[in-house]
Amino acid sequence: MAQKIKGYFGEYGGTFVPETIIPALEELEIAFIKFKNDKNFKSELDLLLKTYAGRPTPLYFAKRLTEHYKKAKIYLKREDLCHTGAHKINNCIGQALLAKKLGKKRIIAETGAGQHGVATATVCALLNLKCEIYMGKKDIQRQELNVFKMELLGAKVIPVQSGSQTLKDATSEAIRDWITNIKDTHYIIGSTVGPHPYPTIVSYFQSVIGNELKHQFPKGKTPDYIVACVGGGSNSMGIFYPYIKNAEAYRGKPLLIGVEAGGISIKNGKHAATLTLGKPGILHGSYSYLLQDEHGKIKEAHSISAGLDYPGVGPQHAYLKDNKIVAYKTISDKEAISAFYQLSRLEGIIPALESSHAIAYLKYLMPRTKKDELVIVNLSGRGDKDINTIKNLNGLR
Amino acid sequence: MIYGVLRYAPTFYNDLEMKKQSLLIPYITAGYPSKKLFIPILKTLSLSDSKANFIEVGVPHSDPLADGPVIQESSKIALENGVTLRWIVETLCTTSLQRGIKPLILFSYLNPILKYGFEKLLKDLPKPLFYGLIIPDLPLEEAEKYLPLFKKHRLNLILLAAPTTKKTKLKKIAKMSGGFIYLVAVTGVTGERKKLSSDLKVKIKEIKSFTSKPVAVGFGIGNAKQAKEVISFGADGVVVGSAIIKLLKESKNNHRLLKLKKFVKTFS
Repeated sequence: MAQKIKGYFGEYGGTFVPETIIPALEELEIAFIKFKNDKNFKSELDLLLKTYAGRPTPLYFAKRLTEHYKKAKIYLKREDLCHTGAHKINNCIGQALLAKKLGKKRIIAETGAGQHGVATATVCALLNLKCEIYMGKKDIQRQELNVFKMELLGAKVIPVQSGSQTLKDATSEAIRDWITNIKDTHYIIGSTVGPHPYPTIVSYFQSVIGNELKHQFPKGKTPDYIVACVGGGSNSMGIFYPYIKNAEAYRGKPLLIGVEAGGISIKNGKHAATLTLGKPGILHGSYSYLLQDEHGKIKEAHSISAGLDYPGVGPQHAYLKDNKIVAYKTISDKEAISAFYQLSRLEGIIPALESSHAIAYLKYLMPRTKKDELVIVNLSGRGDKDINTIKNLNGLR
Repeated sequence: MIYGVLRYAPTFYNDLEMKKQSLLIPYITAGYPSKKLFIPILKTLSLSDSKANFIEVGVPHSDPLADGPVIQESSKIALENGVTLRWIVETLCTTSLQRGIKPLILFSYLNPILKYGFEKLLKDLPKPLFYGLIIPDLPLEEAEKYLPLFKKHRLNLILLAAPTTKKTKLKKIAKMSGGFIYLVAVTGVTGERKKLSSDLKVKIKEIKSFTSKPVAVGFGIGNAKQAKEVISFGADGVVVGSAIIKLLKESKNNHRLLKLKKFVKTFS
């Protein structure tokens, strides 16, 4: 048998799922180990990332935003320019290729904002796989356009009526589907959450972001700060990856900052600041920080951004938090909306509401920076999908 | 088929004595449909003519991954009724209420247990009333570190085996499972099924070939006919869950206990 990979990050992670899907997780782990270093698999993946997803994504110097703060230089890693509009496609291509190798004919996925659903539906159309997407009823209402896109791409969108009718419950329903159809179905989890080996696999396929970044600087230059938003944690894991691959060797540079959704207020409980305010526990198969009550009941999260509206977070982030390798901060709905307008007006880039949280954090970070330093913001997605949310909320201002 | 009174040592680790009679294990969600009915339901299921050997007490959870819509809904309502693991333990620790209740098996997802405190729970659960625990999201891989605690507190950790479980692991589960082995009948979540898989028979035979521990089959069994079929496949018992919850849901307040009594009787 192939050598196993680590299923725990410190005390976090693990495989807390019903026995029925354990063999499928083992099978997936073995396939992942086998194919990630397989020449043919790698060239197939690289070719699709390059010619289909549009990689490498540019590293863009945000001149006007830099002038606005008059401090360090700000660069944006343009994941918003990926095919389908966000970094989600990186992971979908990788996992769908793995599913093909495993001989699976059907793909299921969960989606919150709809970005992961659209990316999954896209890749399934490309690779001729049957595709069904679980999406909370509430999210279906606020992300209408993405629902239509998924259907256009040939996927079936299944509304989830249980619980909070958002990402958490869509994930639970997808897992239940997987338990039922384990033999012919692969579940493409969209973030660095879920049971082992998913957090490792998703981080690996997203690490392309950080690996590119490393080579996009002139020789000798390295970033001083990297800022990324954190919901489940995939775009941030992707861009942090090369710097924390060997976490023990991390020496504090670049300073890594994960920005969580502070929602309406972190004081009144209406937020999704899992790492900042949660406590460790089990959700969707792994042990990590969660929003939960004193009896272990999972609480509902809140964020203006559907992609951050999740009461859990990937186990790697839990480990990075406890070991003080990444600093986790929060940004409120209101601040994220301001940043949404700010980037649109200053740079002509309409960011996703998720990524707007990372942009918004600059107002706290920039005053602390020096002129010769470099700040990177992972612009994980574009804001087309959020236009209606903003329009209904404020209109133009 | 006769569901007889089983000779067992309820708190004794790994010492369920198998008899020729079959096991009937009804499942209920604690505090569903109301907190008030919790003890009366347990007592009804424990009546001398009910044939139940154990009763599974489900701890409601906000994210019950292994459960189908029926038990999901009962969990949601029980949570709305204010049911917590603490309430369940406290209620069942009241000695005056324990009389006339069959041995219990706590069915709980891991997160409420972790919040309560794993060892504290094993310590607090009243014995000999409690025979063991079933934790559906704690597979063998993750369970191993907890096994010494079960031994210490003389409770059984009943492990689940699935249709997808491979032979080497099945052997391990059979060896490590406390009391009996809980075989999941279907690849899927809890809830009644029209038909049982023919693979089930093969799986039961396979487990039986390397263990003398009883095998109870659950998930998907909704009536006496199916129970009989499973027993004819070689199983030692059945767990009936969603069918009972559905019955509690569909019957009117003053008929509930009577209907429950009648339903469980059909399994004799």
